[in-house]
Amino acid sequence: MNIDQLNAEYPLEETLASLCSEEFLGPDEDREGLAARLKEQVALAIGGQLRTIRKHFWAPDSIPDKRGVLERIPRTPRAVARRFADEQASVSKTVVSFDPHGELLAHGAEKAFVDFSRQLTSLEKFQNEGQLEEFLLGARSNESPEDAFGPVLAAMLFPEDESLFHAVASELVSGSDSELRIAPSFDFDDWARVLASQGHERFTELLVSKPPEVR
Amino acid sequence: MPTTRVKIVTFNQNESDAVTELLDDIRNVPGSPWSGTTAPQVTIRRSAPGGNNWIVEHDHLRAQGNVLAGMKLADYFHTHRARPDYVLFYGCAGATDSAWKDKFFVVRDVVYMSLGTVESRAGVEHVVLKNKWICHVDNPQADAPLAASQLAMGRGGNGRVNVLAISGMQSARVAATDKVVKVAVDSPPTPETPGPPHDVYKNGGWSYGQALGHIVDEAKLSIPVIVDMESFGIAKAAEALGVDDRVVICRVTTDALSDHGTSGNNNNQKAQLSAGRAQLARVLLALLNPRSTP
Repeated sequence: MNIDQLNAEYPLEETLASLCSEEFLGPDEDREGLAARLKEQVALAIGGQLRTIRKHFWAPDSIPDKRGVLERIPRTPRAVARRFADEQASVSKTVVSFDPHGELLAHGAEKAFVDFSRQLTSLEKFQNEGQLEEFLLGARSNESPEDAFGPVLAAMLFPEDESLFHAVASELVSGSDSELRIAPSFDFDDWARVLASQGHERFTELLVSKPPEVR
Repeated sequence: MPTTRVKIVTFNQNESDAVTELLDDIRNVPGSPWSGTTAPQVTIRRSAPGGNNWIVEHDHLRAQGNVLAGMKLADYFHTHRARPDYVLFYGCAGATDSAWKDKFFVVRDVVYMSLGTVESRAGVEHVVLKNKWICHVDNPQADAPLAASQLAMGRGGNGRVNVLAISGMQSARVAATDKVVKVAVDSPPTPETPGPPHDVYKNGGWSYGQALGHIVDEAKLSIPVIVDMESFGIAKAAEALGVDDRVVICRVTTDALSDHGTSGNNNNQKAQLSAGRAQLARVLLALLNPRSTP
């Protein structure tokens, strides 16, 4: 169809009316849409952060293959940690300072970042296989360093705001400060509702309106 | 309050006029919830259902070319302040077949045909494109041809918003260059060795007409081929920034290459870009409200 034919079939006036409408989404759709967008934004945020991590912290020959899977060995942990501290000071501070009594602080930035890198590798794998949600919902309740996933994810999402980070982490994870785990019942829909009901407006805004500024 | 921010970028005055007209249209609907400002750029905004804010900003680049278009996109995303959720480029293009003139396209992928030489022959300048950047040639030492750049939102289903799900939207392949092309498509060159895996051509120079003939032949009528001067820069910058799922390029084919620049064509360009704003509005609606079915 040429433009005139398209315009005859889909007149400008109808689209203008839609752009000015107050009746796009009903209450139920709102909630459903919110949950869907939360999932999307988290996936995007992780993707964006992964690009940063690849660029800054992984050895040049460890660029993921076309499937996006990191299969090679990264820089040495010490080199990674040093660059991490130098170039991403705010993220480093958040990750390390979140847990005042627990493992992350005890192991220091270097250990924290090694765990962080492992998480990213796992996350990417799951993300690429379309299983991000399953990964997030899955039982991450063993005693491995991967239990730190919750705060790491939160730090990825909100590196600039420590108080916000605490708010997110408190919803994402269960257990004590020294034993952080993803809450077994963790659910994006619940997450959205709880945060909205607790007045975390900025948090909700960041998640819903656009990918957090990590790209 | 959550905000969805869309930047609309135009290049020449006719394109800018069409977008300005559209933003005026939106504000002038009786009882319109949209309000606007004109400085430093035309911006309209509204509070939308679901507690959202919608902001649409128009940037008139007042320039053309792949580099400047790509630079504009990079400028939006290199800072953490007020990044747009989507960038929507709107402009004219040349149709490589008259059947594809006066149509509205969403760019799906881009090939580049601009690298070559300018030389003097008997005092007359001649432009020759190096075909090694466009196709496989019989010189084993030659670099591989430049791969086509894909735009997720023009492919449908891979982007954050499936623009091609909008009824009647059609995608196109762009042959991007850095010059205004006023020559018609020529017959495609004959390969020295036919594929598979791919046709191999004699290493050398092609005219723009031959290069276009080759690109159209490769598309084999499965997708329209149109010509512009920005999509390659936009696609490459989007790829590097990792934002190709946030970038849409819409083109209205307002000339058929050899008639470009005529006074009749300029009038047609202005009229068709203005007419195209109705379809541009549908894309805008899909970006602001992906759940709508425009």
